[in-house]
Order: sequence, then structure tokens, then C-alpha cells
Amino acid sequence: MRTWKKIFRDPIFHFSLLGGALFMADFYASETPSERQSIEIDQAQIEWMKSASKKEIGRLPGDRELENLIDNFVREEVYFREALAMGLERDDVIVRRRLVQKLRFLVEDVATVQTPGDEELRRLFDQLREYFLEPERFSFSHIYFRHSREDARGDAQKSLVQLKGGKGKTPKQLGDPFMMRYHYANQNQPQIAESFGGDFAAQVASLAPGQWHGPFQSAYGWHLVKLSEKRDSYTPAFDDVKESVMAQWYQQQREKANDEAFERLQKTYQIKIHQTQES
Amino acid sequence: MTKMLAAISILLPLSVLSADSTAELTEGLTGEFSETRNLYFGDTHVHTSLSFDAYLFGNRSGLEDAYRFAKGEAITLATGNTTQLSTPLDFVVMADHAESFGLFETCSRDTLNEKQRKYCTAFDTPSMTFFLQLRNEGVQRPPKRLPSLCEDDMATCLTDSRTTWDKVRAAADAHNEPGQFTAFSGYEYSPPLKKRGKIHRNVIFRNSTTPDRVVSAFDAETVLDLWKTLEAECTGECEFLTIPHNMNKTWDIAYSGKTIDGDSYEDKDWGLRRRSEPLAEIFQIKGSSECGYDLGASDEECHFERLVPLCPKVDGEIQLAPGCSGRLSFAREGLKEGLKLERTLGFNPLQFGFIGSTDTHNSTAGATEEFSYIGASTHEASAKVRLGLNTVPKNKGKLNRNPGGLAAVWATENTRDAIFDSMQRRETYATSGTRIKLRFFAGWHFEQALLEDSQWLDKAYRDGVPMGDVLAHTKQKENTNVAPEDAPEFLIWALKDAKSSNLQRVQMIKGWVENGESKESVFDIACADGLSPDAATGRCPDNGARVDIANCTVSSDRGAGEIKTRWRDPDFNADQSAFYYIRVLENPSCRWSTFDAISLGVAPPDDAPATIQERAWSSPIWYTP
Repeated sequence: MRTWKKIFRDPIFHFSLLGGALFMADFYASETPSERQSIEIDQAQIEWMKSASKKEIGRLPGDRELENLIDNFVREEVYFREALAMGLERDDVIVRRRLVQKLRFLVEDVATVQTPGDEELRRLFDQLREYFLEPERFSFSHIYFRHSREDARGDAQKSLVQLKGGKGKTPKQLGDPFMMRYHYANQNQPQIAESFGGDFAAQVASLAPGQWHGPFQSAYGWHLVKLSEKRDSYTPAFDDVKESVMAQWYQQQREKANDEAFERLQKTYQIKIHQTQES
Repeated sequence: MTKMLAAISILLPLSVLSADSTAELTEGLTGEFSETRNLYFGDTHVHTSLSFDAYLFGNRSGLEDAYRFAKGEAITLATGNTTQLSTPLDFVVMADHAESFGLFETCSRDTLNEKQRKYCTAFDTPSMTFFLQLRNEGVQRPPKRLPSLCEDDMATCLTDSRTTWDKVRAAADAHNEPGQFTAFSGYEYSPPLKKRGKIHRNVIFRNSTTPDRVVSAFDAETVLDLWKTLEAECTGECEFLTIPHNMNKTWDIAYSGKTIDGDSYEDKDWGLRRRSEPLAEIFQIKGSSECGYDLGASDEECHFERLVPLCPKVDGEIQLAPGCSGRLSFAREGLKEGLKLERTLGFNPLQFGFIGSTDTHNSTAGATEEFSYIGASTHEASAKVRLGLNTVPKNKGKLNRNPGGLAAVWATENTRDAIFDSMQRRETYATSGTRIKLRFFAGWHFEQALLEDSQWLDKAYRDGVPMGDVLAHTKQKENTNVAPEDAPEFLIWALKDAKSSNLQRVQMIKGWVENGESKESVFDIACADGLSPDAATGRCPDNGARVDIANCTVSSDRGAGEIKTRWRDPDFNADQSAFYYIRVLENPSCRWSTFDAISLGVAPPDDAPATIQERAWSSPIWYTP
């Protein structure tokens, strides 16, 4: 009972149901002796079966048992070949993926046994400058005017005029308390977007340091912003990122090996894609 | 398998080779150090292809890929999906199953006998049948280390397990960048239960000083053995903590005071638990373990992302059985048990805070967005499989799963020490995957005006306690002028996730014990859109926020960017121990299953909600007389 449950859960079972219909259709179709393939089993294979069986049952198989083993092997081989001949492996995403993976890992296995020298890594570093580029970073202060004010934007504008006039209240006395920070140091644009929203981050990134600007809208309200420092993006020194370069090198080796293998193999194929235009 | 594993084991150590042991920075050396704490989001529960089940399901992304992903880089999974986080994580723990440590090392050896070879080969044949066979083997008590692989040569298996652990530690050290990104060494201790249940713990180490072996379910039969072994082997600079998860699938063991074998905790065992386990993972891909409606809990929000059925009640009696969640399968009830135990033990052994995480088996740390969900396991990669549309008749698919949650931590800076400290003092909260920002304090004389004070945060820390802490009455009485009739004030401040829906309301959950019986109240304490909780129901009125499930657009004109409030417990009793925690709800938005349905051009499934309300749960604050 339990075994049947397991079988019903097994994807192979569902696959065989589908395959079964196809198989039955083919079963009566072709049987010309001249087209017969040969299955040959040599002594080495028989010895292998014997020793495998010995490990399983603790002794060498008897004649009858060996006969069964060979018989089973032949049955399996016939079904295996027929399944391949019928292209059943192509219907099955698991089998397909598994085979593709197996080949890919074999290819990559070979590709990553060597270790790169410094010179080679430096070359890669030069090629990947953009990847290793440290982004622009911004340090800024902000004054917050929450959305629930009657006129948050108007209040922010008035405060900006006050600040620019240099008279009256200090930044701390203006606006509403904010749950997070009033001063942010060395933030890149995605970090600012994470804290305040994308539009706000873009506006902060475009500011010149030294003055209060705004109001700019965030996910929470309106803000006046003063950029205190803008650090330009720069390329780090090779030695500081050598480990990452190495990781990239291996990554590239794996991809390259796969691409090359594919290039080589695809030359033996003619690939035609017939796509129907959808209206 | 041997070939593939050889390839993988070659890939693994490479990143690790050049890694010198990362110098640990002492406190305050990163630029962002802040006494009033910064907020960091992480995932403390990530499985890579090192976990036997993840591998079996087809995951081939190892530690290196998982770290790159957590830091924001795009990776391509074995399914062909290329995927990337919209926001990188601040910290991560790769928590692979300790029981499969060594498996891939042993299987890569060229000295395998036939039995071992067969076993290793089975791992390369993605199959639920083999997975269930392994699981059934694992359920046997006492557990045996991978019999087919190890029983002929245990020494090799133990050596190989250490080798995997070396790689895990080296990868964490290599990826740990103080001030930028924190990587902790860790693993999952995973004894399974019948009916696909589990009583698991993630083990996390403070720094690179750790024992040189993992304590798996093969090494420690019960969690008590786990803690005892860790205490014995993790000494000196070494510090650990453990985090339980999926209490919903413990078949009521989680807070029962019993071990997996049914033995009762002794008093000293409770002490062990208190020392070892400051947090609980209450939300992840396999559902919420916060509370069970009508199993001690009284509020409807407990239905959120429930994975397994609740155990039925007959004549008011809960019918416990493997396969359903009972009362002691939920964190809220654990907190209540803690208050009960405090009376007999003199200390509260279940004083734990909350975090969320993913438990992804796809190496995709922190990938919690509903709209980009690609399953938490390789075999869930297709939307049809997730929705159960790939079979006739259609099955339930993976409908009761979800993309998982995040761990939020208030820490002085992004370093191992600072984040580990925060986890130990429970200044953490859980989210359902969103990045709601949440502050929560309790104190004796918080004025309403504090909410409008630009120095409020300094004052809240100075005069009160943050989430996860204990507010003591007697101690306060000596130092300040707290009158016996005073009630504590709570400050709650929540900001929305800038990339998610607006906030809808803030709820307070209070639990206490009265005449030996645990009690609770759930209040809506602040509503968005200028609304107030209804006096009769205690709930915020409908704010009119809607979702168009044809395209998943939401009402952006409803709800709030921030909600802040001060609250005082109307029923405060100074002689009664209690815990208080906050739940913040977003406006409704589409559940992942609705996004999947839209992408397939089918109607959202009937047997799952079309929309959810993403949320955050603060760690509790305890009041002790």
C-alpha cells in the first residue's frame, strides 16, 4: 500500500502514464529483423554484475540468479534504447535538465583546475573596471515635514527661505522629528532609495554640496536636504579587491568553458526557428 | 554524482583559499557607529547546495553564489533563472543542514564501495521518493549518521564533516566585511519528526572562534544535548546562540517543556534554554508560527500564512496529533508559558525576541518579494507547479508556502559583534518580507510631547527600554519617582518600506497570567487615514484600501507613510508580569499566488487568499513587578 503511494507521488510515474500511450501506439508498428540493433554483453560486464550482486547479497550469484541479472540488464538496455529512440528524454524536463547539467559540470570541472597568476588577474581587473568601480557616495542632512501636516510642502518651502536668510531657527528647530537619522554618511544612491524612495535619491544625487535645497518628496513626507559631501566614484586599488577579482576569474572560466563547448558543438547542428507571429 | 561533486568541491574552496582570517574590528571603528542604533536587515536561515535536501531538489548554487546573491549580485540558478535582490542584505547566515556536512566530500572520494556509490548516485537523481526515504530514515530514534554512506567507515564521514565545516567557516570569514556586510558562521541542527515535522535550531557563532565540528542531530539526540555540547565545546572567545523555527511543525513540542523523545525539562534545562536561545524565527517560507486562532489566540490576524491545519477541538479539548499545529506550536503561547514558568523557576526561560527569515533552499538569501517569487526550492521554479496546475486534477501545489520573511536588527553598527549583541539582547523584529522600519520603547514617564521632540530617540533610550528588553517596576521605583499606581507608556513609531504598500494600522498584543491561566488582549492602537479604533470592536475601521487583482495595483491614496503613537495599557496591573509586542500591518497587496496567476493568464487560486497584508512583529517588552 505504502509502496503504491510512493509510486503515485513519483514524477516518473506520471511521466510513464503519458509515455505509455505513445509507447503502445508504437508497439505494433515496426519489427523488421534487418533493422535489429545488437546488444552485446561481454565477460567483463558479466563479472561486474557478479561482483555487484555479491556486494548486495553477500555471495556470488548462482547460475539461475546470474541468468536473471543478465536478463534484467538486457530488458533495461532495450527499454533504455527504445526510450531514447522515441525521444522520451526530451519530454521530461527532469531528465533533460539532469543531462544538460551533467555535461555542464563536466565542462566546468576541466575549466577551473588551474590558478591564475597576478598578471592575468590584473588584466581581468582592467577589463572589469566598471564592475569594481566604487559608486558615488553622499553625506547629507535633512529636515523632515511629514505628510500629515496640512501643507507639508508649503511649510518646508517657508523653512527653506528662513534657512537661506540665515535668521531665525536652526535646522534642529524646524520640521518634524524623524524616526531614522537626521544625518546620513557615505550613502550610495540605492541606499538612499532604500531609506527614502527612488525619486528622492535621484534628487539628492543631483545636488551641489553646501546649501539647503528642496523640498523633495520621500515615501514619508517632504524634506529639505543639505549635501555636506559628495565623494566621486573611483576605481579601487588592485590589491584591495584581488580576492573578488579571483572570484570573477573563476566565474569567467566556467562561463567561457561552457560558451566554447557550446560554440564547438552547435556547429554540428543546423538550427532553424519557425516562429509564428502573434498579432 | 562523483564527477559533479568533484566539480563542486573544486569550486567551493577556491574563494576561500585566498581568504586570510578577517580581522575583527572592535566597537565603534566603522563610520556609521550610532548609540541610538542603526537598522539592518538580514536572513539568518539560508540553504545552499550543501544541504542534502536542497541538492536533491536540484539546487547547484553553493556558498559562493549564495553570498554573492545576498550582497546584491545577480546569480543564475540551476533552473536557468537569473535572479537578483532589489535591495542587498546587510547580514546573512548560511544555515545548511549539519547532518549533510561531509556528504559531498565523502561522495567525491574515489574509494567508494558499491553501496556508497549507489547512495551517492541517488543524490543526483532529483526525486521526491528518495527524499522521503531519507526523511523516513532520519525519523528513526536514536538517529544514525547516513547509514548507507557511513556505517562501513565512520571515521571518514566524521573527517569529511569537519572539512565541510571548515569551508563554511572560511567562506563566512571571507565574506564578512565590517561596516558593509556581516556574515556569521552557522548551521542548522535538524532532527526530523513524523509527518514531515521538525524540531530544528539554527546555530550561530559570534565570530571566527568556533568549535572545529558541528553538532548535528547525529551528535546530539535532543536539543538539550545540543546546548550542553555547545556549551562544553564553545569556550573562550567562542559564543553561540540558537534560533528555533517552524514551531508550527513541531507537533506541539516547541513550548511543551519536553524533548523530542518526550522527556520533561528539568529546572537546569530551562536555564540552558534561556542562556542559549534569545530569539525565535516566527516567520519564513513554511508559514507563520506567531499564533493559532482559537488555540489560545483570539485575533483573526493569526490566520496569516498558516502552513499546516490547526489541531481540531472536540468539546473544547485540542486534539493533538502529528500533522497539525497545537497551542504550544506558537510563539505567542511560548511567551505565555514563560510567564507561568517564571513563577515556579524564579526566572523566565522563554523570554525570547522575534526575527523572520527565509529558509530558502535555493541559495537566494532574502528574496522575499511577492512579485518576484520563483519558489524557495528548485522544484518550485515553475508558476504552474507552485499553483498546482501541472497535474490533472490540479493539486494544491505549493500554495501554502510564501517567499519568507526578514530579520531586522537594531545595532550600533554593521559588525559581527554589534549584530550578535543585538540578537542576544533581543533588539530585533520580524517581518513577513517587507522592510517596515519599527521602533518600540517602554518607559514610565514618556510624555505625549516626546513624539514631537527631535531628541526623542536619545530620550527614549535614556529613560526607557527598547524592544526585547524588560521593564522592571521595583528597580525603577528606587531610582525615579514612579508611583505604585503608575502605568508604563509605550512609544511606537513605524515607517513604511519605501518600496512597498502604505501602513494601515498598529496593533498591540499583550499577554499575562491570571489565576494560573494565560490570557491575552489584542488592541488596534493607531490607525492610518485619521481613523480611530472602534470602541466596541477595538479595531480600526476599514480605511478603504483596495487591490485590483487583475493587475495588482493598490490604492496609494490610503494608508500612511509613517504611524507613531504613544500608548498606555488601560488594564495595567502593577503586580502582574506581562509581555507586550507590536504588530504593524500594511495595506493589502497581491499575494505571490496572484502574481503567478496573472503571469499565467489564469484566475487566482480559490484555496489561497488573493491578497495579504505584509507586516512586522516587534520583539516583546516584558513588564516584571
